[in-house]
Amino acid sequence: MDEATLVEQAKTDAEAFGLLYEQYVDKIYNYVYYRTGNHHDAEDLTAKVFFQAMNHLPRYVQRGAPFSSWLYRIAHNLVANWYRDRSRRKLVPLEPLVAVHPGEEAGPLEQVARGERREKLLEAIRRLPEDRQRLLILKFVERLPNAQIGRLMGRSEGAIKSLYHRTLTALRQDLAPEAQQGK
Amino acid sequence: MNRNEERDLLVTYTDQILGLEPGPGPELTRHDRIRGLLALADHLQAILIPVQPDPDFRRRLHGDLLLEAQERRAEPQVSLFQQHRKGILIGAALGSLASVAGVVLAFVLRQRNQRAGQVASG
Repeated sequence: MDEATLVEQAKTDAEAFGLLYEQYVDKIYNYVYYRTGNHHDAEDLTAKVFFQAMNHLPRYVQRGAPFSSWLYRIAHNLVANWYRDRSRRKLVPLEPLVAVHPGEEAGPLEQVARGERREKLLEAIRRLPEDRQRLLILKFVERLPNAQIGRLMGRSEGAIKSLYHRTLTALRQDLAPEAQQGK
Repeated sequence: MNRNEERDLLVTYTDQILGLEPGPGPELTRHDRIRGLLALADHLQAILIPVQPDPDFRRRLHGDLLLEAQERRAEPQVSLFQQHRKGILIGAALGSLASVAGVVLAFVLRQRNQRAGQVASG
């Protein structure tokens, strides 16, 4: 069954919606996790994304864009609200997932230094505009080709390549003062 | 190297380290200007790794969604009148107002015609 048919069926059939859920829950979870930086909020917001999608699905109209781009939009709005609600509070640092790399042989000091470097990079990523964060997540976490990222983000493949170049240039500039301090 | 070449080199390099394009790109790192960007791509590849949601959470959420869908289906269907209650009531009120205004206007015109007829005959 193609996606468009499944989406139409899911408007009235809970089992079909369950299939869509299985197909996209990991992707949405990853997106929310890397935007928020912790599993607790990632679970909370992922649940909200799918409840909201289920409630609004009967009014969803397919216009050629992949269904997941609609889910990402819901996720983006919920993450934006989450940031607004937390704007006066300090961000929770990313959990150890990024600090744990099985097989890495390093002393405690080196591990701490690596963890700090990772943390700084992840913080810099979260300072980027939303579309750039999303691009990095789709590219590195989901490992999607540029053309597919373009379809999801409503841009051409060339525009995605340029955005990627600008994103890394901006990240490098953002990290440059910290890198110099670390020297 | 111009900006477009730099962009293409960075994209190709990234796609190669992610396994999206075949072949290694060792000589790409010879370009000084872009070396920092390629190192950043390597760093991003190392930290942006897929995470798996807790299987219990995944299962529980699936169950909750199905339950919510079933409960909603079990709720009595809202009638067309209830769905558009406000619009129908406003429409009815406006219709009534128009009717009253029409009757008043007809009455006024009739009186005016009668008065004009009396003046003409008197």
